[in-house]
Amino acid sequence: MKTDRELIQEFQTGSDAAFNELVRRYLDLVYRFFQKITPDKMEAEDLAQTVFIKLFKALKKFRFESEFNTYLYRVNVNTANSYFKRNKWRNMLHLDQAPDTGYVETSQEKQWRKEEVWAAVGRLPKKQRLVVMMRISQALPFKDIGNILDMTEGSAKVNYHHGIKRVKLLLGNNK
Amino acid sequence: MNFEAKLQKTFSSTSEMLEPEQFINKLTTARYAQALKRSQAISGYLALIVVLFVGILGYNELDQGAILMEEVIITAQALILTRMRTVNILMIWPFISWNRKRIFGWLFPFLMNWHMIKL
Repeated sequence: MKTDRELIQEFQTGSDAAFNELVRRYLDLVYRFFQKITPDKMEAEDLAQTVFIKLFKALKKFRFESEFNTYLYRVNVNTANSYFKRNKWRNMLHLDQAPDTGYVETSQEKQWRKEEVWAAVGRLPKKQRLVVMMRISQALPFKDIGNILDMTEGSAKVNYHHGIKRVKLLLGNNK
Repeated sequence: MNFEAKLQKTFSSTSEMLEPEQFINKLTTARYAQALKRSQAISGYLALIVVLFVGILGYNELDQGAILMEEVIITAQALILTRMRTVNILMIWPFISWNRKRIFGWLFPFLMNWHMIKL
C-alpha cells in the first residue's frame, strides 16, 4: 500500500487516480468531522466536497513541510470556520429559538441538540472557536490541536478553557 | 457527568458514512463545473477589457464636434457613410448607446470644449 507522501507525489506528476485514492482514504475522517458540526447530511457532504476541492488545488504545490494529516485537519478547520461565519446569524436565531421541551430539566439531565451547541460555539472568538471545535468534535489532545492551529499546547488549553466557559454560559449551564 | 463529557456525548451518535465512488464522481463533476465557471469568468473579464480599451481608443479618435447630442444615431450613420473611422464607431456604439445620457450629459460638452480649445 502506498503512503500518503507517495500518493501526493504521484498526484503532483499528474495522476488523478492518486488523488482519488487519497479521497477514498480520508473521506470517512473528513465527513465524520463535518457530520459532527452540522445536523444536515447534505451540508456535511457539501463541506467535505469543498475540502477535497481545496485539496485538489493546494496539493499540487504541497511541499511536505507538515504531515498530510495535520494539513488536512487545518483545511477542515478553516472550512468549518468559514461555515460558522456564513451561518453566524442563522446560528444566533437557532440558539434563541431552541424548542421548549415542556418540563424543567436539571443541569445533570440536560442534553443539547447539536445545533444548539454549534450555535453557541459559532459565537466564540475565532481562536477559542477553533480549539473548542477540535476538542469536542474530534476529542484531540491539546498538543495535536496546538500543532494543527499553530499555537502552543498551553495556549490551546487557555483558549479552550475560556471558550468552554462561554459555551456553558450560552447554553445556560452555569453550574 | 462533567460538562465536556456531556458535550462529547451529544456528538457521539453520528456514524453514517458516504459511498466513496459516488462521492468521487460528484467531486469530479463539481471540480469541472468550478473550472468551467472560472474560465468563463476570466474570458468575460478579458472581453470586457478589450471592448472598453478599444472603445476608449476609438472614442478619443472620433471627430467629436460632428456628433450632436440628440441625434447620435443619425450622426453616427452619417459619419460611417461620409467620413472616416467606420470600425471605431461600430466598436464603441454599444458603449455609447448604453451610457448615452451619462456621456452626453456632461462628458461630451466638456470634450467638445476641450476640442475647440485645442483648435
